[in-house]
Amino acid sequence: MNIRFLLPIGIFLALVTISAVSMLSMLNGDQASKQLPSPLIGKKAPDLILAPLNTTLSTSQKKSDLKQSVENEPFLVNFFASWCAPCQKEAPFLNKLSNKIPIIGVAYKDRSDELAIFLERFGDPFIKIGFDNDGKTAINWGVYGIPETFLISNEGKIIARHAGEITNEVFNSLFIPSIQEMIR
Amino acid sequence: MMFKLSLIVKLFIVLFFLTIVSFINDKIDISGFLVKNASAITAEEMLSDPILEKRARNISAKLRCLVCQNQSIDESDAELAVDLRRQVREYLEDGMTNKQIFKALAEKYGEFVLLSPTFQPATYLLWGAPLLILAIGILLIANLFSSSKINFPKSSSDTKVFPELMTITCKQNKNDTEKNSVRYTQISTISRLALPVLILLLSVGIYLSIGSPDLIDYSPSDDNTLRAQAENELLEKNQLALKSFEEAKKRVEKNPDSLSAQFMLAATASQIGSIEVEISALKKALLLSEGDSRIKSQLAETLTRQANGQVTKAASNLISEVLKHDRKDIRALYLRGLELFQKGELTDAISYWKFTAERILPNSPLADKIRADVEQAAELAKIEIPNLTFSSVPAFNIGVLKREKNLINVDNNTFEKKLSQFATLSQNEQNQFIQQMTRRLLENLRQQPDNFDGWLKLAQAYLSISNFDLADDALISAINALSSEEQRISLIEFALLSHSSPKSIQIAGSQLSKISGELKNSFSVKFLQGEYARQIGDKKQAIRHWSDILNRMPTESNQAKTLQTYINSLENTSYGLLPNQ
Repeated sequence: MNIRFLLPIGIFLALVTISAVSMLSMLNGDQASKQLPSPLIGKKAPDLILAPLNTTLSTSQKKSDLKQSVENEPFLVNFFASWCAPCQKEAPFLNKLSNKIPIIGVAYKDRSDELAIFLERFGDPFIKIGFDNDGKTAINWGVYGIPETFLISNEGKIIARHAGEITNEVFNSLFIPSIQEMIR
Repeated sequence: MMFKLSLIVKLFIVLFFLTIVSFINDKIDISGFLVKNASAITAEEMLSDPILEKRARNISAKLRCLVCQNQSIDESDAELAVDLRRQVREYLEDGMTNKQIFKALAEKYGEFVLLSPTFQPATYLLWGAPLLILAIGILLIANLFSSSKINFPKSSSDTKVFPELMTITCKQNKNDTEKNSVRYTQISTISRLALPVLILLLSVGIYLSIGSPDLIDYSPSDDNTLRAQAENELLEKNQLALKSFEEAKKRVEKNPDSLSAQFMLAATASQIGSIEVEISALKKALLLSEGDSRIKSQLAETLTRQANGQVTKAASNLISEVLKHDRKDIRALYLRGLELFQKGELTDAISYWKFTAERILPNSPLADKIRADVEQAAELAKIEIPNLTFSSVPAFNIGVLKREKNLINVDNNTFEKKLSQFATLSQNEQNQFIQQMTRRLLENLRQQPDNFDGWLKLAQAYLSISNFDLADDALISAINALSSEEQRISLIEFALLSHSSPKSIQIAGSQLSKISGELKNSFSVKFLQGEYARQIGDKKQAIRHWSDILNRMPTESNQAKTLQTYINSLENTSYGLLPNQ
């Protein structure tokens, strides 16, 4: 008799516990678990066919695949813009990083003159910069807010992604293990 | 025993209701009634095919804006949402089905981008929960049914547990009228069963009809409903346009000499596609304004539109007149380019268009047209496509926006939020924001065209997005709404100190000559007269006016000192230019 009434109550309590636990873990979760997971990880990196920033700092009409500027080694793709504050904050770290790994910059909705000032002030860690002014490349890469940094393996696959300012901690905890795993 | 049982039943009935309400809310969108028109979509984004557009809207409403996360991309103003809306429309134009589009975006952004999640292992519990609750409900009802037999004396198991209680009940039953009691238990069993069964049926029905656990794909049979909806909306829009056209017509009948009434008639006629009325209204406006060059170029444009994009002789003459007067009139410059293009003088056409581009913003509708036109001309002339330089947005004056708020009915919270973030918004978002403001302002002015402050604020708003010609237009409308001399002075102030275009200087001059009486000798009018003289290059007059005020001012005041430096610099330069004001 009693079991019949306890069963529904038990199910109800179990549901409450499940939702409470998942809510609490969301609240206390670290930075990494707050990020939206990217479904592109493990897949081939989308195209980067963009109008490159040339030496005279004006947008040229012809687009090219920026990925071809790196051959057979892992590299980073950094979506940024001169108007974004976290991008300015992460610039010094990217500059340091540029000695270790090639970085391709994608200037999201930016202007060449303002970009020139940005690079002058915060340094230029990029081997190539392309303009994504219609935001289509960003959509292809699943970017939902800049800055976002992707790690591409030497086979051209996305192996890690970080949304938001990239720091030493993020690089050590997320990107370096991914590179080590790739080598293995 | 009975009490405890019904408590649990009540609990689950509440759960039932919650589930059903959440279904209905999710699918029919009860809360959405309040914000039904909250779509952020702008006219430029829309597809010309009404059915595709309808589908685009439906899809957009089911996609999450990842920046604001609890809004769909249909409602959001975020830049990413705008881009995603455009992407959805491109997919549709490529002929993709709804399901393919959802899948393509989920591949890039993950399941999270879908506002209603698909049916897969991770969401089994989510979609299964209502069924689970349903199952528990059925279990309970079965329970209730069997335990409702408690009252029947023949129920064997219960009598074993509570034999004494049963005998008491039975005795009482026997003591009272036995028949009544039996009827009572039967009725209560039926009524107690009726409600849960009803809920059961209802929830099963709702679940089957709208609670589909997967994204519904588009099928061609939906076309008819979509087409009907689209036609209805178009009809409504047309009716609205027709209504404002009729209103404008009435106003012109009542007030045939009003410039703003003629303007409004031309604008509404253009909306309903009545090009003849538009032309005649513009011609009247041209007469009333004594040959205003802005109206001339507008008329030239309308004439060109009437001739299906061919620049006619009459239009060409008007363009020449405008350009003689104001070499920077955007519309006239563009049309002259078009005229040259049609005559086959391609390089000249390109140089006119390049000159036009310098005066407009890179994201204005005309900018896209110019880009395409220049490209076409360059291809025909077999030369490289030249780079176009567009005008850039000047630093925006937040003060203007703050003042504007009083006139426009916007949600205060959104407004303050946007305003506080204004400096951090990207250029595109800033433009969009200002464009929204001006649109609202315009709607307001359509209702009350005599609102002088409104027209002046509109002019300021246009100025801030470097739409100089429209600022001139708004200023001309403001003249018609003038009702006091104070307003006339603030109009002149704006024309000279904020705007200072060839047209606005001309307006300031004619308005200054209309000020009469004591006011004519006031400090502010004298100052403005001096400023007007300076801007048209009449140095002597400028110095005369300003010295006049200076003599009447206390010499130690700051104003007097500033004015003295103005006069000194005027005397020392050969042009009428001032040092940094």
